Amino acid sequence: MNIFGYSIKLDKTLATGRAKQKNAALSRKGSDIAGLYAALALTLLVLFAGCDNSFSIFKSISQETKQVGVDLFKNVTVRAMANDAANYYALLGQVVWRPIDGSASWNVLSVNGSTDYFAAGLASDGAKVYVAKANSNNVLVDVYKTIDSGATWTAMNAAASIGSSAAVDWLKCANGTLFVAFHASGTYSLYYYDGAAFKSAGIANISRPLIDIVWDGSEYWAISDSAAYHGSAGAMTEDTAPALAQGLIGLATDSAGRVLISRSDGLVYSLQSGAWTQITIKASTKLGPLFLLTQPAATKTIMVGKGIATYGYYEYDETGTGSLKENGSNYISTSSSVYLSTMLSKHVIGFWQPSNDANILYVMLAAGGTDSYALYKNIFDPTANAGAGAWSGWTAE
Amino acid sequence: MKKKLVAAAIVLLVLCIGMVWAQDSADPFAANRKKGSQSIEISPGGFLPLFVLDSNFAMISTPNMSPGAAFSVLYRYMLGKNLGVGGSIAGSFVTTVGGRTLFLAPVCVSSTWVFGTDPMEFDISAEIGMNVMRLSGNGIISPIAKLGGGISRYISESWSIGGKLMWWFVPELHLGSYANLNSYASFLEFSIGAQYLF
Repeated sequence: MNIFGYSIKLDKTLATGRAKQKNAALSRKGSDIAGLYAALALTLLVLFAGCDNSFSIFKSISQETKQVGVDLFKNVTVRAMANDAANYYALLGQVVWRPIDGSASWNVLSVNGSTDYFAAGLASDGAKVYVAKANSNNVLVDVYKTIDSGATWTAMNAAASIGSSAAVDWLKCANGTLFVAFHASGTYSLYYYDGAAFKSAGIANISRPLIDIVWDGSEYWAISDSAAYHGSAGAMTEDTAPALAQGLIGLATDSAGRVLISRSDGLVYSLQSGAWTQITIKASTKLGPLFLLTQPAATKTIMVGKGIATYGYYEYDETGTGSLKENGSNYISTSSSVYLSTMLSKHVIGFWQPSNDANILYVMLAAGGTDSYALYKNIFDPTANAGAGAWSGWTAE
Repeated sequence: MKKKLVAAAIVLLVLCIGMVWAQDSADPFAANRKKGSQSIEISPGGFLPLFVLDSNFAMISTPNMSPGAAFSVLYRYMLGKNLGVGGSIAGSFVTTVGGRTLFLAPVCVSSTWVFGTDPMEFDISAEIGMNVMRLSGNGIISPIAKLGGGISRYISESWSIGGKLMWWFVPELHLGSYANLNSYASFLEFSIGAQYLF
């Protein structure tokens, strides 16, 4: 009996232990299942949060067009463009050109009798074309001018004025005047060509790099990445209103008194009739280069590059209260599919229109490593869309 | 007489060898086609876009997609001699004429009808599930259905190798006022695979 009694007691103890283990196991199982459900819910939440009901994947793909451009523009950066009456020019490591009438394809431009050079800058006023040549250390060799589409060149003896150790950052023509931004000994300066020699524009030995210069119809405006300057060619002074330390990125004008400056905080500063106003393009979002689109005339559109990792550009329609368009959705300059297959992941270097044709728009891109093109063209057809006009969408050059 | 004895000996020898062979290696086809048998199949292969229909079921003339690749993992549990159920996960991509890449990642439940004679095995399977698609940073979750079949050959009791063709039907569904963006795509997955049976 004792044996049986002991046995029964042991059985009860074991049964109690098993029940506790079972309860613990059930508790663990319940906890595991709850964790699994939570993980599943979180996964679904993340997946659904990444969905866009307004974006059609297969429709977007079906609207794509195959882009076949010139190999010269594949995996490169187009840094500037220019034109004269006969040709378009684009600045890569060298200057390439093609006839405006399309009678020949892009080719390397021979500058002063040579195609073996490094070009640090390119500019034109619509008639004259300027190319800054540099040596292998990016030090200025000279600025060359042609008035006959590259048939003959004139050396402008720029190094004598600018200095023999200067590195050219960019050339730009504004209001028919050639400007040269350069750096030397860690400081940055802006010079202009007065018809006989290069002279200081009034911005000399500043600590931050210069970005761009425009003519607003009555005076010049230039920006460094931290401050804005304005005035006549030889006497530009700082304007503190839009200043932002290392935060100024783009400059544009309508050449009729309005100046726009894009910043790294998502704001565009707009100057009109002597007063600055702010336009929030996208709050707390770094912007890029600016361009004022004049077509269609019924809309007021600011095109501004993205300074964020996805790159590409925004279109901001100033009509009414203003609206931001991004990722090609409702763009007036292209369709969503064309935008996504041409611009995405490429840094916009700038927008450019020929001096003699407001119905052509180019976008210059940094396409290195994308196995895609760096220069795209868009053509405005004034007769399309029942006379309202429409842009064709980007096509690889 | 001597020749008959030799012939009889050869026949006997062959029969003995056959019996020994049969004892040493059980029929894998029968062994893996019973309730509770399980298998995992890994299949890499190609992925062909076939056609795309718009929201009105009209064919889109330019699907603009090029062939890509697919990879799938399938688990199967046999409910009987011929019927198996399970699940699959897969990943695939196609490129587009604009230089973009469309990724698809479906997760499905599957049912399979298995038949054949040793050592060959045939199967017809149907799968339904959910599919995550990504294109240039945009995502869609959609339902998906797959239908197809395969052929495989046992190379041991635990392994078989073969190939399969699966037709993917991928409806892209949008809600509310965006229903006009609905479209229906189909793809063909062709793959070779290795199946582990346990």
